[in-house]
Amino acid sequence: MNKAVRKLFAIAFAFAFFLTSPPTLKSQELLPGGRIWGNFQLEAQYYFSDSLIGAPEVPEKILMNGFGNLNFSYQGFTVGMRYESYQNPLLGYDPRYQGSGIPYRFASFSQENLEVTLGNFYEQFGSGMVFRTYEERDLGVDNAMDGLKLVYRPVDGVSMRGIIGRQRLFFDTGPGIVRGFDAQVDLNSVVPSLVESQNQWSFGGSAVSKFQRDQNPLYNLPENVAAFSGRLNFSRGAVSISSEYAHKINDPSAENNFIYKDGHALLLNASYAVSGAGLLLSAKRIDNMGFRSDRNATGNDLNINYLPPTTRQHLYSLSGMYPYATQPTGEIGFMGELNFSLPRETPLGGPFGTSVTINYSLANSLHKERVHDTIPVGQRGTKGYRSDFFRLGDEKFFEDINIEINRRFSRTLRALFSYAYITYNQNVIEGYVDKEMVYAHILIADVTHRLPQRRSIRWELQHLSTRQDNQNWAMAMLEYSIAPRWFFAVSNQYNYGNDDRDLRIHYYTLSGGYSRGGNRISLSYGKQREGIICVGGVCRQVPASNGFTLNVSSSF
Amino acid sequence: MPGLFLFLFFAGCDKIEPPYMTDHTGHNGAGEVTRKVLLEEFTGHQCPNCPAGHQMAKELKTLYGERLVIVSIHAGWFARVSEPPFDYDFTSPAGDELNTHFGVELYPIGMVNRKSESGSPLIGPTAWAEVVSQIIDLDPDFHIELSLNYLPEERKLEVNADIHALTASPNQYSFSAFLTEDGIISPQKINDPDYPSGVIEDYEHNHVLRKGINGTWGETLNDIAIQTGDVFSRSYSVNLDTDWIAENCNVVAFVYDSTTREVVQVEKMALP
Repeated sequence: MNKAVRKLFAIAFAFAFFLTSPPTLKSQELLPGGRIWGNFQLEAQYYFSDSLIGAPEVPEKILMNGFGNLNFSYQGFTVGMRYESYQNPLLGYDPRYQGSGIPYRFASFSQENLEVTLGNFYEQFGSGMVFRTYEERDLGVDNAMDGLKLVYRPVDGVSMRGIIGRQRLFFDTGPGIVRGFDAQVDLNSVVPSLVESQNQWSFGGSAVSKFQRDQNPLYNLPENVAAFSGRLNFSRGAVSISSEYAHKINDPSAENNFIYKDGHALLLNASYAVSGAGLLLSAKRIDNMGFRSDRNATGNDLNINYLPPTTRQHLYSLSGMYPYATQPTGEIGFMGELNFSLPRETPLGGPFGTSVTINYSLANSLHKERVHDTIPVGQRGTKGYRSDFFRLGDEKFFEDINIEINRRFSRTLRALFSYAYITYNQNVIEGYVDKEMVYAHILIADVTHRLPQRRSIRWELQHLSTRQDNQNWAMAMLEYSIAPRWFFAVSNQYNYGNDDRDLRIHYYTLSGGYSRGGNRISLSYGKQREGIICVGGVCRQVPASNGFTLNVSSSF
Repeated sequence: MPGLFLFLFFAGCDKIEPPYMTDHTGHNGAGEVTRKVLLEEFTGHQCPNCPAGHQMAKELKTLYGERLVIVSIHAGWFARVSEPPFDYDFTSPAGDELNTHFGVELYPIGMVNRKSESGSPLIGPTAWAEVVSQIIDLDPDFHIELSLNYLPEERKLEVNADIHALTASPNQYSFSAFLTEDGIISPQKINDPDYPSGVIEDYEHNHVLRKGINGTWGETLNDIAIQTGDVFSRSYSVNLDTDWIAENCNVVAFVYDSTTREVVQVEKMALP
């Protein structure tokens, strides 16, 4: 074990010692009526190079991402900041994060019906199709605004929000200025005759515009680009329906290959829920609806809007191996999910009852036609293409049918069984041109045995079967927990079906962790396969790695 | 409230009508001492999205003529040599070193004068035009005079450069010279429905970096502050590999700030 690894262990033990000592000062006592809160998180990895799995040589050996939030509020006045440090960014995170600083700070106050925020803020209009700023640390996404936000509620049931500023780009801000306005009306609160009605109606609208100077010598570019959306929601008893339509004017960008076509998006959600059963239906059509505050931005940089996914987000490692990323340039998607409970004390439900979830989702291309016989679809510097609103294209991007059964067999034994069949278009989702469509069957068993004295053993068996990509995988995991403080786990993912015998690799991991109060520390060692992680249809490529990982988090 | 929507609609929209592209003429600048701009694009013959980058560079070349100098650096995963038809090796030690030094992970990507934007000089093809337009009309700081002598029997190229300082500067500068080759016909992967196979068999590769004539980073020009009128003379010789076609080769020579690595002047000359 070399010096750097010993150093990593020393840091881990120092934190463990620190975390087991109870705090002696309650921060809330600093100022009567005042409140301080925040959190801290650190992830450090020590890397070994491993050419077999494609883990690159890391000259620094240790990389670290860390941040801390500190907030203070007093009588309607709130200030806060987040310090971030990347020394240097962990593998898979954008190297432009390198360094340290305070990229997020704000002051806000509210008085009467008005709320004012100065500095950085996150905000979302409707479902986010014209405006959403958010932070998703696992993806390295943070498109926070830096500017001003006003929220005004003139009467109960009506809110108006206005925003203006630039978006965060690592430790800087993007070149474009974003301005927006949103209004939301809850009709049942506003119209006296509807107050007692069982029909609940609300509607809203948003307008967002960006400004970026045109310095491009090749194109006549719009310096101001606006997007608009309208939404209508209805619910009555067990039924709930929501809808939103968004439109964006010509916005040539790197994402759409500098075409001048307008963008459109439609999102429909409907749900029905009664005791023991629920049905959810979603449909979505997206057409050239990428919207960024820098027309040259790519990857996850400077997104003004967010296009909600209509696919299920799988949480297990093998069912999550082929996740779907929303395609802002164009897709039509559907999802349906049925869940129900089989009553206890019945032959199917067993002594403690069983819950079942059946889910289906599809993402497909749009039908696209040439705007002129001589102009290819998507040609730069043209309208790009024509598209019939309701016509599906020829290319399937993603399809997923899955069933999950959750059953408790006794007071000490419960299990989850799951099967998924996923169709995954690698070329579209990962940007290749010569990869095969992946058809994968995934089986999962997740069993938990409760033991005396709040101990438990949980084990997972997973299998992925496919003839494409890296072919078959098997995975096993065993976890021992002493609630609520300790856990220890060992797992192995084995690519036993790989055509190349040299690449039939075991990706094993050993991990352990300790929690107390708001503090948590964990240490793991193992190999991480190359892959993609997605949260909410937004994805990040994760490179292969081999080494130790230390996680420390604390909140107060 | 409706008033605000209308305000954003009218104030926040620039509806562009055709023609969407500008007239690509008029920036040749031949015959006068002007600032020239270096565009280095990282690419690879197995990179399906790279032809779009080549096309963008070509459009800029059409617009700026001799004032834009392009170097295509084949390096990284997409430039790897594999089974036919991708068995030709476009890589070079200088290209590999630049690829590693600048931490290139996405292709195609490029550097305009190695000028840093948001902490990195690497920018995508659609941003090249804007950065070039911001730099290209600045007054030149240097003038590079090249003279080349090629000895075909020995396949030996002699490079002589006189670098004239046009403005005084306290900064330290370096001088680099690359050898590039045009017109290499070899397969290229492409992401275009017009090529269902995903490959163009007879793709013409231009501006390919072959060699760093004085290494990857060149050599330092000055140890003390530069005065207007200072002239720095440098001479090098280099042998051409047997499969390089001399008539298609060029020397690309440039001066850059040794600290920031930003290129301040570049010159290109075809082999005689």
